[in-house]
Amino acid sequence: MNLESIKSQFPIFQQKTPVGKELVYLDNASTTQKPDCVIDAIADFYKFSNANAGRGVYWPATEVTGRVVDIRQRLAKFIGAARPEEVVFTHGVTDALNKLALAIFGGSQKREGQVLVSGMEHHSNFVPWQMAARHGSLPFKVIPLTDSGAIDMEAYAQLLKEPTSLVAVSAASNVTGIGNDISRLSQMAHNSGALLVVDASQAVAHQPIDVRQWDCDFMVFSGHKAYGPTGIGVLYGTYEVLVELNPLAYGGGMVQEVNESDTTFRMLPHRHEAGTLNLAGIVGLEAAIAFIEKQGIANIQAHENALYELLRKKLNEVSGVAILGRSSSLQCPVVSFTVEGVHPHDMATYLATEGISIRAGHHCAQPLMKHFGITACSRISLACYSSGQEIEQTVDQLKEAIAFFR
Amino acid sequence: MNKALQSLYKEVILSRAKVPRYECKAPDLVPTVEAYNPLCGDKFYLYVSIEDGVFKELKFSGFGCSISKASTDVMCDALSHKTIQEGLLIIDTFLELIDDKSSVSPEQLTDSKELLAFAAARDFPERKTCANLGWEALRLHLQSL
Repeated sequence: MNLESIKSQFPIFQQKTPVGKELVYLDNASTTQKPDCVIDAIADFYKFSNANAGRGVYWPATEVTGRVVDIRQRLAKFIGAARPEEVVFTHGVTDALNKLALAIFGGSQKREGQVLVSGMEHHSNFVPWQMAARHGSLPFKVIPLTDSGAIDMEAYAQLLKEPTSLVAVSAASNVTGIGNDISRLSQMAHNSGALLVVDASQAVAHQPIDVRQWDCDFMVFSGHKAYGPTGIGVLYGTYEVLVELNPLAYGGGMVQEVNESDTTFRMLPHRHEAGTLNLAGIVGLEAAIAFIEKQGIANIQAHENALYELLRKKLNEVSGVAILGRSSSLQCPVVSFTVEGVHPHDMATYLATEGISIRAGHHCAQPLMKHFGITACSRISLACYSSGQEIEQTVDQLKEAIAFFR
Repeated sequence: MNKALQSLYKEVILSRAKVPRYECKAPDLVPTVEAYNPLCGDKFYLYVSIEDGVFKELKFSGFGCSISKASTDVMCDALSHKTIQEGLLIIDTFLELIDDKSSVSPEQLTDSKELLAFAAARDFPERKTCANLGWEALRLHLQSL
């Protein structure tokens, strides 16, 4: 990978920060920056082919409708889905998981058995299930983590001895970067008759996604964490499950026939896509996927893994720094840490005045913070445009910050 | 170190955060007020004793950044031995002092060096919720009395 060439495709890096520094952007677990191809695709859509999809018989509506069909197919291939109808467009992971929780537990289909989530989940893959279980009067349990922050597989197996309706886990933690063995988690869930939902928010930009290899029932990701725009995401579900599932939302575009007494719904994927889709977002997401495929996900992974190891090594050399969690494999390039005597927000503010963007706080993962016995931590998360020089610079400034605050 | 940092982290703030005068580590008291920032998880417990409408003693415990800890410490100092009405005025003054939307300069609001140390929060609006954490919580409590 040519790092210079990659970075030159991101216009945000072509300017200085308000304090006159180069932007060192290390908050990619929150959202990634956008390359020209994504920005141009969105602008071109509005400039040259804007119309609603699936409704008009005129150009440009016909062109847009065709593009959505093509993009759905491309996304299905990107995630390894068997059929394009298994790809449902959403507004992002939070939107998808809330709708999914309601569709699974809120309708006329009564489900039995506890709901399990792991202790490393982002609130968006925790609270919707917690609330759905409460409304359905089902037990809600958290799969414990090991001391290193990985899912405790023995505890998971033990929990699955009780009747279980659904298991929700992330492909990788947004705090520790620890990845989960989804295939194994899935096999164990299925052996207990439970559905498996995977939040791939953190994984999608950093490792290949193969939903059939994972054998999950649902998988969700947001475009904006993979160089795409905000407000667009994908919910994958197996055809067999999606076709039986209550619609995620109701409205125009998803109905077959509406009568005063009842309404029938269209086939997949339209059954789950009520209202006008975020078409500019879909077009932007396609450009983002094309960007990733052009670099090659294996190349991105190799580059980020090398940087990840360098970052850990450099941080471990700093006195008072304690990195949260570590597993042997399946890592995403995210490192969170505490610094003795320095609050994460003070650290983040110090680095921000040097043009370095890191994140401080609980990262929407309060159960995980409690597991580690902390309230907040600092987080550095990498992307394909990150460099070793940026890591060196960040750790140097981090040492300066420690000297300043202690 | 650059000027922006120097203006935000004045000596008053750094020293108050390192050695707070009103922090109690292992309180036996029941907190009067909980000051919590759900965005970052910072949390202080305030222990406020009021006698005959006058603040007799203010203490705090908890976890927060330099700015939130120092500002809570300064608040305890500023309100000690003041009446509730005087306290509310000081709180309002401080909250305006850190408000980047205020048209009044910090120096016009107060001549207290301790309070003015936080005026640079106007240039760091993302840190306003740190500076006002204890103050907003106590104001809400006092208004409910």
